[in-house]
Amino acid sequence: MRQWVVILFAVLISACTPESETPQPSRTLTLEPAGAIPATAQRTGDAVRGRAALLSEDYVGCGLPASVWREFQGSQTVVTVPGRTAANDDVPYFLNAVTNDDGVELVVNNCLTCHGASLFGEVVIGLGNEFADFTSNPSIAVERAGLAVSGSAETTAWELYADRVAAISPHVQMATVGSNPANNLTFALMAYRDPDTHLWSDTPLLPLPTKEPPPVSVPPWWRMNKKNAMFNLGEGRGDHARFMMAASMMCTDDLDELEAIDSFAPDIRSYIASLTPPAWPFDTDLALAVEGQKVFEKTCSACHGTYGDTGDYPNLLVDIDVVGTDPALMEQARDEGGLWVDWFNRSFYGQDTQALPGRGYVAPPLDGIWATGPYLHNGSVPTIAQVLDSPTRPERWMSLASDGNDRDTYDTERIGWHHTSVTVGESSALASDDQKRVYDTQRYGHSNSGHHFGDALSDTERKAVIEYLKTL
Amino acid sequence: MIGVSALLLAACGPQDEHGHEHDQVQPEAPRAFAEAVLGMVAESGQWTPADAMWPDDLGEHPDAPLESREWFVLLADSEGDVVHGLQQRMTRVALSGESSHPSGQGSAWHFDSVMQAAGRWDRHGGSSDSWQKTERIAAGLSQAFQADKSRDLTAPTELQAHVLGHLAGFTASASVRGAGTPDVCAGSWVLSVPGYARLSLAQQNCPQDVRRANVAITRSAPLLVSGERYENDKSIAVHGVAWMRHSWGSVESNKAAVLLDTLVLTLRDIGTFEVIATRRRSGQGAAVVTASLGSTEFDDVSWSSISPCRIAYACKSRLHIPALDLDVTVQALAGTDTRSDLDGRLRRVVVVNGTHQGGGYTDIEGDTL
Repeated sequence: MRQWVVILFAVLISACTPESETPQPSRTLTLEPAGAIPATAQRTGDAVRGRAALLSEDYVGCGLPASVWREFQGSQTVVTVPGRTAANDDVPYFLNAVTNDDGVELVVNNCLTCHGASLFGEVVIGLGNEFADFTSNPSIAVERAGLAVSGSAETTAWELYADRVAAISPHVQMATVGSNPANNLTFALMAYRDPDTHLWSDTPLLPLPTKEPPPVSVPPWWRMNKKNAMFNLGEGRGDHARFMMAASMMCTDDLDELEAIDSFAPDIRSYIASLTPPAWPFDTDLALAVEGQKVFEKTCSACHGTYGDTGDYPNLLVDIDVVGTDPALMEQARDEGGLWVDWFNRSFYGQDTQALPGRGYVAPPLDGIWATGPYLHNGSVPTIAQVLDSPTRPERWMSLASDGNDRDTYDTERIGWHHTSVTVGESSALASDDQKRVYDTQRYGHSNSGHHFGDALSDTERKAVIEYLKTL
Repeated sequence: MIGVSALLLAACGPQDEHGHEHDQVQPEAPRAFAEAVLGMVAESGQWTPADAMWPDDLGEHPDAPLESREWFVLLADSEGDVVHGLQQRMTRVALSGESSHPSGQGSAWHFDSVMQAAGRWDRHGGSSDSWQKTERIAAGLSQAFQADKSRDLTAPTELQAHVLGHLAGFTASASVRGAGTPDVCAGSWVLSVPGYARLSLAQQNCPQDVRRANVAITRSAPLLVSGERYENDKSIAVHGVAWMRHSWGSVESNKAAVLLDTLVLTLRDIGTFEVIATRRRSGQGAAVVTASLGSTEFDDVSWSSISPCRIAYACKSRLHIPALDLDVTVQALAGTDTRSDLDGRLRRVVVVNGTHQGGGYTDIEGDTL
């Protein structure tokens, strides 16, 4: 069901402030230099109300008629989260049951489509879903769902949803299961909307993004309370709640609707900022972790911060030439982002916010890092041990976990999901479905290069750092 | 002897009773189809004749108000250059809420609730002499059912008598060898069409289950056909390939937001696969066409009607699947229809030529282009 829609938060690109009266936006963009990203004040909100809104409100604006969803769902098990409204009792945690203006009950994707996942049998709100499959054309499933749609009101609702999915479909299909198309999705949606009126256009108003989206590993929400800027390039600056509302680009078609969503968006942001990471569920060698903390604070803290009661996070954008990780996301912003940034700055979302993508990647806080593999911004490295020892990174690998529920598929020594390396020959011999599970670092945007900062550590030091990371 | 090319020229020839127009068919390589299909069948194993059995029980889904089986048959004679197409259909419509019969009293497909239809194509053109009358009855029952009046039809009625009257002379049978249910991986059916053919259809592989909106479908793997066909009071040994489609559920909606057209093909060097096309009834958006071969899905698929047929995919179409290096013409055999108002769909036997050879059947919405 998840592949029917890809709704989530976006990475947005910034523009220089135009000085002329009739600025002509350029497709290319000058990126923000590396350095510390300053904090900006956030609107206050009510976290309790925010959770309720996150799991019940319609901030996307379209979805499948509930009757259709139930027809296809049949008797399949539904994974839920507690504390939802009665209307959402029987829908999965990543869908909200809502009723549209024509009285049609819909199931619409909520943020947990990408920002929620099951971990060892329990849904963790805010954990990026690293197993979601975006390799298929979502339009196919949505169009086929039309077989169960009947009546004019249902048809109208379904057709709106089908139209939007059809528009974005060519731009959100990933090469690898687990990779997320968030950036491309946002750019595609922007291309079909008038930034001033927010009206949808049946033909794109801006150039559409690549059909080979650079992959993104979804960052966990529980780090938001430390971050001054959202997203990998640090582009989300200013009012984070407005950035989070980008999920509404899918089907929210007028400014009044956006204003209504904006009324509870700060509550959702407050809820997200209140989240804490899940605790490491396995044994820990505390003495070794203490040794690891010393190595970490000497080697890693300058970028990733310190932890505990006196912890400090520097919010550092690291230059691409320093971090050396895959440049595709940054290059997309630099070479194509100008028009999208211009769109953003003119839109409702651009009020009280600034989209300022940097010339590199933000070194994230590492709270709960054990649960967030695979690693680096593109999910190219399966374990922390390999992040810290770059020569051991597999060129081509396949996760042995199909979801986050099986403890036996978790690698407690290296931190991350068990995986196997595969050769080109082995990969091509796999069934097509399995081929999509092979992460090939030779693909565009998939490189596992860079972040060589752990290579100089001894094996003993590396092991100690890993033990320390388990405690964060 | 008539060659394959001539037969194909006749396939969409004279306008049939559904108003289909003439379709221009280019001559195809002689024997290509028969060799391809029969070659494919030969590879799948040796057929052993089965004992014919009168219907044992084909009603394993008696709770469904509508249940039907269709057999799609392609035949070649011993010289391999003559093709016959045949479709036979059995449909059970619940006359009341309690459609099944007490155990021990025969089949849930008891004849008081079964309609049969047969359509065929051969050198003499298409024929559907027995199915139209029963079709009208079926349509009446269907309408009654859809209007939720079926529960009024609990007692034997004139309609039922009418059905029985038409079925009395129809000796078609369908059974499964042994005591198993129809959906087993081995066994055979015997189809008998008076004055036309008596055929054994042997299963070689397990069927496949498909679920769609309000209908469940079981599709057989290709069936190996052997038997005899009657022509001018002579019995001619024939062999070929067939497919069985068994569906049950409520009446397939013709009010859905999209139209669904499918094509099931068995092609030499590829095997059996399905093509699915959906088009929005509103006309908005592009058609979505995919193909599935085993667990492999292809979404770069082009399936387009070739003029001048007025109904999408109904007469002649082109299928192109780059990933399979497949580019073929799909030729429907006029007269093999059993289009029914029960579900509003048009099903026809087809033959395929081009980069690959073989055959199969269409199952299409039947809306005009």
